[in-house]
Amino acid sequence: MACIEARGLTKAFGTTIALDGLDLHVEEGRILGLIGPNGAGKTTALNAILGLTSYQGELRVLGRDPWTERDRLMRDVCFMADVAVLPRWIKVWQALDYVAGVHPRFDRAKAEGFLEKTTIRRESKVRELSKGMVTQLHLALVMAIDARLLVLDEPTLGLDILFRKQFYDSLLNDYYDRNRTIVVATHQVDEIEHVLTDLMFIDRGRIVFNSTMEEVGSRYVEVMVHPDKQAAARALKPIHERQGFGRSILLFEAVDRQKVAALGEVHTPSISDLFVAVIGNQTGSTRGAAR
Amino acid sequence: MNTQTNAMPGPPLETHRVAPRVIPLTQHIYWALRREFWENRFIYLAPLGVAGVFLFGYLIHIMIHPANAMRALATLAPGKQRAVIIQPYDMAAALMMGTFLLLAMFFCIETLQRERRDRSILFWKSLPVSDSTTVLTKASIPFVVLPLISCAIAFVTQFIMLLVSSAVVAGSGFSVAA
Repeated sequence: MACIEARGLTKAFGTTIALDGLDLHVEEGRILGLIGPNGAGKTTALNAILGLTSYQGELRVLGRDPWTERDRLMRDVCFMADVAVLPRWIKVWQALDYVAGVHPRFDRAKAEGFLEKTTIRRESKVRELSKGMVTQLHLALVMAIDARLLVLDEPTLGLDILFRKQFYDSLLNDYYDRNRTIVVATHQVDEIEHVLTDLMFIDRGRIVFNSTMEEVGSRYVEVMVHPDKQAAARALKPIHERQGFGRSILLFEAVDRQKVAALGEVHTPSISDLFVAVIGNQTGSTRGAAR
Repeated sequence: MNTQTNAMPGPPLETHRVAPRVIPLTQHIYWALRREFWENRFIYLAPLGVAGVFLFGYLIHIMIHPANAMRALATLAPGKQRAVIIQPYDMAAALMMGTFLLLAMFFCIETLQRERRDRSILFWKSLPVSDSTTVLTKASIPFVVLPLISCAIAFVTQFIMLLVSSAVVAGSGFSVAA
């Protein structure tokens, strides 16, 4: 069963179109990175998936309509936005008590176990904790919930690099299994690169790129071209070209690896380079999805 | 032949999931109310504080010259006496009523606004609690909870006033019969 299935998802705020007929299909057990420039519609799309906003079009999350069945859906879905959403007045023990009281799939012992590895005290209020500790607390609450879909919207915004790394490590090691689906929307692209199984770029309310990470590795190559072979390289129609270390770096899609290997050093592009190439090409021409 | 393989175990089955407990609506309401009491401790602290201050003032009032006050009271007509005696009790009730109205107003203005302002609504909405439970519980604070608390505290306050004044009168040695 598809975890998330959206067809023609549309949402407008006044005259601003946030989602413009978005199509989305996420299978169970994937870790999807949803990446897009500011105002591309990432958060609106996630809000629609979570039942936080109304929409036009078709949307099913775990077989349910999120807008009309949000409370039922939230038994199987967890959500973390950037660090500042835990109420600032709440004490740690109150948060534990409350979630244990209302969530049928919350395993309190597990949450306590995670908290034991931190320096967070039960009596502290959220406002007394550092940003990193608030994230740890929220993560402990979320990871103790046996959910099928976890949605993360810029979960590590404003955290230092140690916390960010620890955050994704905990998710991968202690939480993820093939029954769970994780959707991450973020700007910090390169940090989640090794975590993802699927990648989508969203721009102006549409999915403009959709691929598995394996495909990204096999379909796209980046070549640091020898200066004397630039003309030959450009003849192969790269989708993007940039300058670096005094050389041209060309990005090719679906090209013969043997052929480009002769032109210079070949490697797999990073998500951010791919993003710049794809979104950069969007301006002016509207490309379809990559597959 | 050893049939043991190193194959990856298959994806865990549905049965690996924690069997969900069934959470009755009453429990949802209980926790929704507790949340309001945690967040808005003024719901009970403010009426208690006001009652405490009033009682303290009343105590000082009747401790000063209780005998004189009694003598002055005795000179009045019986109908007037009653009015003078119950006046502080009415004041206590009116004060609790005023406190209740202020608190209810303050609560109504703030309660839905604040969680949107500090974005904690994203946390509350990530939990399987229906919007109607949340809103009805919030509505019950000014319409049910605060009136009950105010009435109870007013009643207890008046009862303490009665005890204290009786004790003071008895201690002053002033006899109604005199």
